[in-house]
Amino acid sequence: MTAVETSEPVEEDPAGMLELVDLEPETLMDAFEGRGWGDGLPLVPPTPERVEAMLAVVGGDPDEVLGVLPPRRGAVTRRTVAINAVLAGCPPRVMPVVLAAARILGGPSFNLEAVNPTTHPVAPLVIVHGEAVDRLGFNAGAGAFGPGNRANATVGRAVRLLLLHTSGARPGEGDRSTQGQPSKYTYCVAENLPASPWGGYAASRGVDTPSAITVAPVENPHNAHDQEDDSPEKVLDKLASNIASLGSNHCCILGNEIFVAMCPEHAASIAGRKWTRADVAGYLQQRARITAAQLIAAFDQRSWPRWMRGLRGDDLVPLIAQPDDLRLVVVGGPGKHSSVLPCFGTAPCSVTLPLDI
Amino acid sequence: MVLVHNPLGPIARQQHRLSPRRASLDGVRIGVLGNSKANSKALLTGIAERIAADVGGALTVVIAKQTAGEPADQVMLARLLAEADVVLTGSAD
Repeated sequence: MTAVETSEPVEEDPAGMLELVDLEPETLMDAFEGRGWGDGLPLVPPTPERVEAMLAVVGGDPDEVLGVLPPRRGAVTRRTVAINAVLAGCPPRVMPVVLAAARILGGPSFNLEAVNPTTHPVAPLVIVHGEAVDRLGFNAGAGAFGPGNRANATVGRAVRLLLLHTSGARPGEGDRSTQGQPSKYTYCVAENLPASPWGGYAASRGVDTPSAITVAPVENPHNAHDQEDDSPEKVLDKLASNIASLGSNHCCILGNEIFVAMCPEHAASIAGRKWTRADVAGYLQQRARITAAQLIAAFDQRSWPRWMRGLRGDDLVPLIAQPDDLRLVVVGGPGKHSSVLPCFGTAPCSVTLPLDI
Repeated sequence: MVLVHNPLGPIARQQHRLSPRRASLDGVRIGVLGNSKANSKALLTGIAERIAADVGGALTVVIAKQTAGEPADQVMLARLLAEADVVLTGSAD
């Protein structure tokens, strides 16, 4: 066998302009639908004026290649990101967030090559941290996962449109998800830092900047409800039960991150008993387990590490391989509902980077 | 008439050059790169063994990735380069 030669990305097939008879919503919708573009919802016309306004916020060469989005291998350029941000209805102020997310998706640390074409229902979730939340108008409080906030809704939608268009992740084509999931329309949330008793998530991952962004390929949030008392164990056991589900990908592919979006009231109860972020992760890693007998009975096909092949039937298999794979973010407003967001694939799956606004 | 931008943007494509096609499969060393999905190994090795029997070649190396969602690592690729002339891969669910 002979190794293939590769080179740096080169630009081909520069995008042209689309000629429309007018800018009525139906005209744009029909033009896009006819080409297999769009997400099925109304779009804002990406006129040159609107795209220039978006580009003016971030500066730089509009056509510089900043990354590559498989499987189409579309180029991440400021211009292409701006076009999709306009289509999604983004206010120009959030363009730096969309661009940062696009750079992560098109970079070497994010496994988009597998996230897009898998049959698993996974969507890249954008999490905004720090000063950017208030300054750019994101919702970290009540109903943070949606709907109703323009910044959350449009940033997530811009990312999805970029995947549909530039990445070629059309359902049944570049995106082979069996059922899809609602968060493939839009998936962006903000961390409720003022309500976090453990400080910011990004700082916990070594990104200690005023603002930051995380992109994580995850399933929809799985609700975990506890209104019992202030016992950390009662709250966390419900989250652990949610994680240790036989339907989870983590049962047959051990070694992946699991996000917990913890509501402020659960976080306050747990931290009130002096539990740290590491305590929470360690407890969940201990409790989110299924017996080897159950897993072996349920799955012929297991991508387990070699050490797990010697397990006996009553051994408890951790669904979180190590405490560091449990990623804790405080999200939401009043009430006692937290959620589990399992990642796709194997660790590392999420990427957290500084955000320059 | 009004103009709006095309949302697809340019393609930034790595240039891959295919290896030269072999003039003959006689005596070929065949490798298999499986993706750990159910039946992947059985399907690919079955095809490889059939080809090997037809052309007087041999199945010389079988590798399975840990999971389908990961690319083959450099160790795997180096072994395939060293031990095989052609490689069969590409099984999904």
